[in-house]
Amino acid sequence: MKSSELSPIEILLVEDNPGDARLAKEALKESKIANHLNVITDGEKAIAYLNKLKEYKNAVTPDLILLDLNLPKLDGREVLQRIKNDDKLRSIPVVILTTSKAEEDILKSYKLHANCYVTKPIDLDQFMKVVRSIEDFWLSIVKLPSKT
Amino acid sequence: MRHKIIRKRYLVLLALLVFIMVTSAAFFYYNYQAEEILNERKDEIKTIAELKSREINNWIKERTSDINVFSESTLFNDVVSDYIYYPSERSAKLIENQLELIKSNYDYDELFITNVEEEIKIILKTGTDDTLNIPVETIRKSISNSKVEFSDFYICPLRGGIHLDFTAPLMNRNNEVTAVIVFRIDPNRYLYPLISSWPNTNRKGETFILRKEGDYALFLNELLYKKNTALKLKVPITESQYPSVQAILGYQGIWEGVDYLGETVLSYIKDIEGTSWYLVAKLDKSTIFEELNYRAILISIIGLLITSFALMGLAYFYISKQKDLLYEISRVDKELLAAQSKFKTILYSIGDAVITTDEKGIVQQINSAAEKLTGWTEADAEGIGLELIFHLENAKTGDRIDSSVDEILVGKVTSTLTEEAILVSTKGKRIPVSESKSPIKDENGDIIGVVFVLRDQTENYLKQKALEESEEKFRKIFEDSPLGKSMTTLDGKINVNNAFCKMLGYTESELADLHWKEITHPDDHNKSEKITQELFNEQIETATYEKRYLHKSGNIVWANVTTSIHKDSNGNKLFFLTTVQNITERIEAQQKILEEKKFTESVINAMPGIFYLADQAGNLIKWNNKLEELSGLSENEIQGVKLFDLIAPHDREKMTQAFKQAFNSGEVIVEAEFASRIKNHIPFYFNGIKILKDDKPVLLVIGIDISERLFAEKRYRSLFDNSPVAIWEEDWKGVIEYLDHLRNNGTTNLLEYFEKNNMTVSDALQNLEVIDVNSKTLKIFEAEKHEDIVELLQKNICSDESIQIYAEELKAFIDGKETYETVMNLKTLTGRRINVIMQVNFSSFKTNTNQVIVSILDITEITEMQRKLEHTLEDLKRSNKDLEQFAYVASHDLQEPLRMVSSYVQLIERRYKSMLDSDGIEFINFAVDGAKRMQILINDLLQYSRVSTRGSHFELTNLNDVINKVLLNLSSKIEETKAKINFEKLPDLRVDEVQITRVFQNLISNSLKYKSDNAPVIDLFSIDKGDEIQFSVSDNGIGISEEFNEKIFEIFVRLHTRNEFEGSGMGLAICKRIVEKHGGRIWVESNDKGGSTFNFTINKNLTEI
Repeated sequence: MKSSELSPIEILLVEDNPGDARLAKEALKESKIANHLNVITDGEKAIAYLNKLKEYKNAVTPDLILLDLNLPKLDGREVLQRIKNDDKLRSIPVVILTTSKAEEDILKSYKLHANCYVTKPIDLDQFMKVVRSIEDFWLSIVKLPSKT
Repeated sequence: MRHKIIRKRYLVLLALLVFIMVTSAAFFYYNYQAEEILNERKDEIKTIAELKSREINNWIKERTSDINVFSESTLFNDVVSDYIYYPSERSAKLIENQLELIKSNYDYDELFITNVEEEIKIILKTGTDDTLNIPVETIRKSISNSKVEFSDFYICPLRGGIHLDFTAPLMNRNNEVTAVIVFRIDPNRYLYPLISSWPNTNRKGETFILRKEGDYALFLNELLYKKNTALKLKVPITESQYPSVQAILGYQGIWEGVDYLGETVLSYIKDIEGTSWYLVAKLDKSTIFEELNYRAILISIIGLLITSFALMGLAYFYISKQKDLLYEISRVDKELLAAQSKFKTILYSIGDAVITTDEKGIVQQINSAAEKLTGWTEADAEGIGLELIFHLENAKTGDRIDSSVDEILVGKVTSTLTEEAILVSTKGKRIPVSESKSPIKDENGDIIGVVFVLRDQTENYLKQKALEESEEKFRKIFEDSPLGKSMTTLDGKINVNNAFCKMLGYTESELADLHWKEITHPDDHNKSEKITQELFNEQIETATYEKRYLHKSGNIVWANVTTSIHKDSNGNKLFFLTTVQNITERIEAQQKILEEKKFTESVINAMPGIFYLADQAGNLIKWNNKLEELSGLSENEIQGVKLFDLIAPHDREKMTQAFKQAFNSGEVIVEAEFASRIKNHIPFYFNGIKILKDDKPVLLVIGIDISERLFAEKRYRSLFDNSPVAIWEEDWKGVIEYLDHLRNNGTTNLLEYFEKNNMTVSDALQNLEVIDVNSKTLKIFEAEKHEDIVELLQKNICSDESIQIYAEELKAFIDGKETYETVMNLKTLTGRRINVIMQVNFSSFKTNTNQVIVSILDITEITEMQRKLEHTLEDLKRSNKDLEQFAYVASHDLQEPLRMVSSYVQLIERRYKSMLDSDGIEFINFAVDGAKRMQILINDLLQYSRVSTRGSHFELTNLNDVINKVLLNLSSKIEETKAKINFEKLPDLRVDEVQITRVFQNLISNSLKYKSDNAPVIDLFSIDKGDEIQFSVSDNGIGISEEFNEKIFEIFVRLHTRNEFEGSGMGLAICKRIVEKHGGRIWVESNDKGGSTFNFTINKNLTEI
């Protein structure tokens, strides 16, 4: 399977910190998988984007959501809950990105069926590793028969 | 006295019997003696034989020991040995002197010493004979056996005499026999006389010794009755009748046989210990029976003598008896004659008339009294039939009495007696007589006549008549007396009159059967008996006393009794005459009065208080025991005091006033102190009532000790006044009246009534009255005067504000509750608001007073404090929440900029490395490193704060699993350091698993980190300390100086530079926090491996915080 044969993956990054968003972008740039990253900076917009409301009327349903937990307006947990309660969105894999290692966050996220949880590392190399793990994750997803 | 006639033939028979008895006794006695003598002799020869045997044996022993003295003397042995080898005059003399001593003392025949070749070396001898027989065999035996030997008796082949030799060896210092010493004995000197001597006088008693020589018994000594026998006389063994032969055959004991003279002998055979000799003691049998025969003659003579004496005794007895008999017969004859003459004299001198008849009733004798009475002379009357002489009539009936004696003569009647008869004399005179007839019997009991006795009763007759008349008169008086009268015979029988019968409810005949005791009250028995006894003994003439009779019905009849004893004219005591007056009514009345008096007295004495009667002057007339007891005054002392004297001085005036008032108004009540001699003054409550006693006004006073009541009042007052709680009393009399009024007007359900309209509560409660308030009440309500507070309380009760509370109070009261309690808010006099707990106590309604006690506790401050506390708690919770929020923010928001710094610096390095020089790269590294460390610090700090902000979740945890997890977490580090970690099985414990994992991980990773040059060895173990468990992590690392033992648990404390060991300095601080959360403590100590041991404890009984 070659990446050129596939249309690029649509990735939605919900992140209010432009520094982190840029880092993710940079990291994904080096990815082997062709991707298209959309960055949304708060929870409300993310929900609007996913439901293709208002200005996001033409938004593409993402193949993967990278979700920060601490977001203005609607916080990441709320966003996650809404995604998982929505029949249309439920099947989209969600990777939680957070700086917090607090157990509550972890437990809560898994209760809401986050597919993956990644602590934002302070080390760039580690960050790269995280992105690559997302790649691997993705590759395994596309192997699923439902997706073909 | 009767005498038996002893017949001659009996005596002869008796004599014969005595002879036979004596003869047979003698015969048996002879036989018995024969046996006895034989036994005696046997015992004798046995004793002699044993004695001699022992003596001979002793003799041999003595001789043996004599020679032994020399044989065993070392000195003597030396001297002799020396002499044998080196003979010298001096040695010879020495030895001879020694030997001479024993020879002369013990009478040896010869003493000599030979050398081992049996050559004579030294000799001491008796006599001058030079020939000497050397007992070679015995000497050799001594040499070979090395001990004392002795030869048997032998005849000296040289001199012909009989000898015995004792030999003993003598030795030099090498225990070699050098010489033999020989003691020679001539048996004739001592031994033979010893053997043959006989210790008693029996002529034919003899002892001898013998030995067996081939088939012969060889006699060893000279015999008494045969010469030349020693070692010469032999008896062949076949002659078994000889005791000597029996001896060598081995027989021992008594043997009856024949001796060497052919005499029959009794012998005793005995061997001699330590020799081959036998000893025979013998006695001729003939000598034994000689003695017996002598005794037999003696017995016969004694027997004959006894028989003759017995016969002589019998003859004498017979003759003397015959003599006595003759004498007795003559004496009786004499007595008979004297008696006959005496009888005649008596008969004729008897005062009574006596007439005798023969067996046919023909008169034989008439005495002079009879002649006088009948008018007959003895001469005329003799030979005439009795019935012709007498004319007797019955005194009462006048009938002729049959004077015939026929009935008596035929034995039909034994005797007759007529007390009252009239004899008509020959002159026609009528004389009252008593007459009696009796038969006269001979010695065989046959009737041979009649004796007839008459007594002149003229005088008695007249006396009797007078007596009967007097008795009749007495009886009439006795019977008709209105007073009870009784005659009691000396044996206690009663005879009473009608009045007496009536008094006791018996009929006369019933009483006649009773003893006086049966009608007398048991308690009076003794008294009556005593008086009776005194009367009988004539100590008194009459007795008047009161006693109790028993009515037939069982009731007690009290009587006044006068008794005297009655005698006949001769002074004989006849009976007791008792006059009885019924005094039962009087006695009962007296008793009743007495009982009432007693009752009254016990009532006043049983009173708990004092009681007295006082006259108008204040003198005490009557009082109870309590007064004496309390005042401490005796009865006499009280008589001398006035009632005021019994009052404390300060109360006397009051008492005097009260006393006067009592006499005026009739009653008074006063409280005053009683003056007691025993205690101090006692407060009393006196109640005086004027009454009349013997028509004079007196005051009856009752006093009760009220000190306890006063004390209780005082105590209550003190409690009330000093109570820290506000208390007041209310009188609810008005309220109750109001409620009664409502009930009377048809309000059945008061509760319902008040519930319907709360405002009616004020109507009810405005009737209550505040009586007394304590000082605390004033203080709480900020009042100055009692009046103010009373007014305020009254107002409060009726205020609209509190109406709800008072309604409930009233309901509680109506419900019959004892207390009502509530919390309420009140306004003080100054208008300040206070919170109080109010308690209303209705319990005094039980004791029928209308008092209600209300108490109030000011809780304003307490409620304020509680409010503040709650507020603080709220603040604290909020602050904790803030802190947690801060921690979260710190972890999230502080890390984000940090990440930006490091990430982008790294991105720069990544993209533009080729454009940077080495300095640039180094700076970037510093920046990245700083950022990383900052992150660790922040994480640890967060963790630290979270330990306290977050609650712990204690659950039963398997600590072994925890450790395994920790080891897994640290596995790379463990591998890298080649650490060895030992841990024993840890207990299950209720802990917060995440936190406790942290503690173990921090401690173990510390041990791995601060390792010495050696590979780390870490020991993990736990100790159960009862309420808690102590865990220890012990390592062999670099250790910690003692001065830092406390400091290392503080936050951010590091002992090493970052170059030495990495770390934030937070690990142990976190551990400390966690352990403290688990109710434990943590400390470090140095161990003997040079490393550190970290200990911490965990409480076993943790509950959620």
